[in-house]
Amino acid sequence: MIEEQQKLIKEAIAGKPASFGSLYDHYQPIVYRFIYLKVSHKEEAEDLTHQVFLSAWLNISEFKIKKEASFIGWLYQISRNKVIDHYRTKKPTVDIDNIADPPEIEKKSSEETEDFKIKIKMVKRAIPLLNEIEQDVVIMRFIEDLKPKEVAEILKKSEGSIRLIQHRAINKLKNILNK
Amino acid sequence: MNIFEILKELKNIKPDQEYAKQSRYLILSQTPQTDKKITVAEIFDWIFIHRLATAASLISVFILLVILSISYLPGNKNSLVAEADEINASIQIKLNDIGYQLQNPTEINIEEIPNVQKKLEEITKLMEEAQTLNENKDKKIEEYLKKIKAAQTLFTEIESLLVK
Repeated sequence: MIEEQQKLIKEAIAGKPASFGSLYDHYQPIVYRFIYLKVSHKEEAEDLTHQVFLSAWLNISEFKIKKEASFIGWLYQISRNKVIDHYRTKKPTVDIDNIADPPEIEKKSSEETEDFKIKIKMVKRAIPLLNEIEQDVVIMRFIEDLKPKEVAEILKKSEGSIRLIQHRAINKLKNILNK
Repeated sequence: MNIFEILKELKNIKPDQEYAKQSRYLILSQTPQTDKKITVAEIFDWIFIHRLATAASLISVFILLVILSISYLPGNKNSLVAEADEINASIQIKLNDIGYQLQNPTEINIEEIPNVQKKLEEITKLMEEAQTLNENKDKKIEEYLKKIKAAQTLFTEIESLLVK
């Protein structure tokens, strides 16, 4: 798996569209989720995700291959910058209380779905209330299931500091949700 | 309420499939900057490259004409415009793929070069036929699309021929 990814990354760096296409298929949902949970707006998340991959493809030669984790790290880095730029140039236009249902959530039973939707909505409201680094850690650790070591590498912090941030972020989330 | 369970459920958030497809097409139809030092002209016959470039530019111009022609027709032709757009993006991606293959001579099947040249001639012929269609007042958009699709198929074949 990692070898295959490495091969795709090398070919993409050499300018092979099909290989970048495969990387897009693999990483696009991860990047989309990351951005969507930060901006809480479907169209804006789509637009920013598109910009992230366009920018990655056009500047692929700038990526220095190390290992598979570093490619997603690079994409996360571009995503964070795009989100920051987005908020710099445009104030959020959506009231967080009026966010629509999350897109493309797997269907459950109707009763479960209702309960699920309410909980999702509550957590979705809460995530943007965390600071940027806390949002990143919560998304990477508990939604994308990355190990503290991987998150530390991506965010260029120590593992200890990631554990501290995740502890603080979860407590904050619990406090917000219990209010 | 277990916060970790809810967070895990958020992994089910997925982008819209149609959006993802369109975005992919648009991105891959762009040409990235690469560090390649070896140029095709150093290795292959200049005419081959020249013909590929000519065919590519003819196709781009032609597709633009088709899209414009469809837009001016009465009635709802949105689906045809969308189809033409999609084929256009797909051809651009194939041209980028072929461009990549040509810049990586070690990955090319040199024996197939004469067949590739033949297919380029077929593409050029298709374009000439399409231009004749364009001069005809009784424009048949479906016929245009057939020609572009045929060119698209030929590009796919070229791509496969070049792979070792």
